[in-house]
Amino acid sequence: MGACILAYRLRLGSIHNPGAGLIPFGVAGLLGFMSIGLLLRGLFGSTVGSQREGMFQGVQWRGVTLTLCGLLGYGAAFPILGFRLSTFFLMLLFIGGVGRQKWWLTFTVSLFTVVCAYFIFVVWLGCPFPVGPFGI
Amino acid sequence: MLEYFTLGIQVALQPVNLFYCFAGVFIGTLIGVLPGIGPVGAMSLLLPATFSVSPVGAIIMMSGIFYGAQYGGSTTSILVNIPGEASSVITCLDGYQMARKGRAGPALGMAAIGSFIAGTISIVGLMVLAYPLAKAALSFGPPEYFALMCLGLVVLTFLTQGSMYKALMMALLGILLGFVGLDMFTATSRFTFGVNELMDGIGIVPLMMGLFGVSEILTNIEQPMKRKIYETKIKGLLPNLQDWVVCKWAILRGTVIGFFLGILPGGGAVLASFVSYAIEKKVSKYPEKFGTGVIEGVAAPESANNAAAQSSFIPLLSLGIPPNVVMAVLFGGLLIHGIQPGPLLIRSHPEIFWGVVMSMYIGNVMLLALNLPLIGMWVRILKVPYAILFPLILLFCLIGVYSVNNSVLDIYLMILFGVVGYLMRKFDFEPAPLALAYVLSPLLETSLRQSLNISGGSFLIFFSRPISLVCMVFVIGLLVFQITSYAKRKRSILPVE
Repeated sequence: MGACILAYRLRLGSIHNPGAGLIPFGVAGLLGFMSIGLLLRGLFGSTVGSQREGMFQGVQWRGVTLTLCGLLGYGAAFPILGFRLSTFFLMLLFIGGVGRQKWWLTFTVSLFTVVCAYFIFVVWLGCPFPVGPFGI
Repeated sequence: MLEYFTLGIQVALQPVNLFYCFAGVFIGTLIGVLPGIGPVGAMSLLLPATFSVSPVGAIIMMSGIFYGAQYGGSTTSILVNIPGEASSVITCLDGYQMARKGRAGPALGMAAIGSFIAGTISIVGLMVLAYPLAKAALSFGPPEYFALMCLGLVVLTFLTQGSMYKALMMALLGILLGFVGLDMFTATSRFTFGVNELMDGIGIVPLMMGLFGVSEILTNIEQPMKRKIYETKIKGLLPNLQDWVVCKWAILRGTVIGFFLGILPGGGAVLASFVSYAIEKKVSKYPEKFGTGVIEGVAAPESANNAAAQSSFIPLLSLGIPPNVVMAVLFGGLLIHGIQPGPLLIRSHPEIFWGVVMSMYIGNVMLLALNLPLIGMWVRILKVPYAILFPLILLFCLIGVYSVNNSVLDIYLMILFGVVGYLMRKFDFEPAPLALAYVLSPLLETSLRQSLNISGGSFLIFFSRPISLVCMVFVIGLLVFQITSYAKRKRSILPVE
């Protein structure tokens, strides 16, 4: 519905000469109506409760949450800490924190990954990644 | 024709293109072997890495990933009972049972040889059909294109495993996401919320990587990260004479089914493998044995998915319409390289079309070599713990998505679409219609607006031209069929309740 309002503000034009907002308005309107239909079916349907329970049964939220936090943190740290440091910390978190591997394996694989990624992407492919404090 | 054929061979045999072909089929096999990332994710992941490569090299590599994944997918299905790729799901049924009976070798061998035969026949079909189709498509106008794209989207939503209603909603959402950015007719910015980086629209790479890469990883790590490889010695990869006798027709039937389902809008390798298995079971003299380790149950779907993988290039290269989500990524890749897929591609860039087609032959031979003698290597890779594998995949996603525009916003967009894709899987919403609709959205809007301009605002234009009329009749027919079958289901449930 929000998309409908935004599309309406863009100028709808006419069917003969559609404006920038006409087709987005139509698509958003149709999607809105279908969403309401699905919502009503969900509210008055008989199997929704049990289905929803089954969907998240046995989910290990710790791993999912840590992974998402790691990804968001990487996005925030990347321009500040630079490619090498942020990648190293991300690997530590994923392999050690989410994957629960032994500390020496976590450290070795993380270090090896950073070195390989640096040579592939920075040295070979020439990707201009940000550099962290002290040029690391 | 012969001169183009020679041109294609010259392009494909250039050392640099041979390298990209090998890299593509190698990565494709790896992706196919490893459960957790499919060809869509891998192609999106490697799209930024191809920016510095020539367009023909990039497309050769991306195509290699796609058809290479169809080969590799069977390995995990047979040895681990986990499909490495969606199109190899059905191979688990008989392939794994064969492995349990000590016949993993012939199962792997038949999958690879069947894939090779089907892939090669399908390339011949691609060469024969694409050129005349592209010639015919030159007479297509905006109404025909609009109707064809509508048909593609509706067929895809019809064929999705879950609810068609939800799939249609996803297609509409995909179209809506495609509107983000500047309007092509009036240069008005739409849904950008003042963010300059969104003026060019949402990037195809963060969207695909999020929907198919990150969401897949999130789904995998929510469960304990352990998998068992069936401990069996793989020996005697070549099937025996008896296997050949029972499989020759299965391979041919799989090839024909796969070829035609690959061309269909909305079809593709997954559908082809399921349909060919069902048909094989139906025509078999011993259908009750399917699922217990019958070699035709491996040969047919594996041939079909490879034939479909190759033939799905036909609508993309000749009409400029991607028939499935993998082709949509390739479509995006071509656009990024400044090449407009469509009827003019074969005429204006013959080196790309014929070079890619010829590289497929070479790729198929490489795949046979990679999948038969080197099978032991792929099995060893399967033993790498997922706890080490998934961080590497995520890191490649992050680096890949950032390097497209050197933008952190793309990283956040990828995470956002990853979460959206994860929730979509949980609530049974298919990501494929969203992705395909997103790619088709600009073309769809342009052809609709042009059609309305031509007709003076009348929608009857879509019913007054033969090709668009046929497509629209199919579109309406499929929608009506779905609604009536839903109503029938409802009526049959009500008396019980």
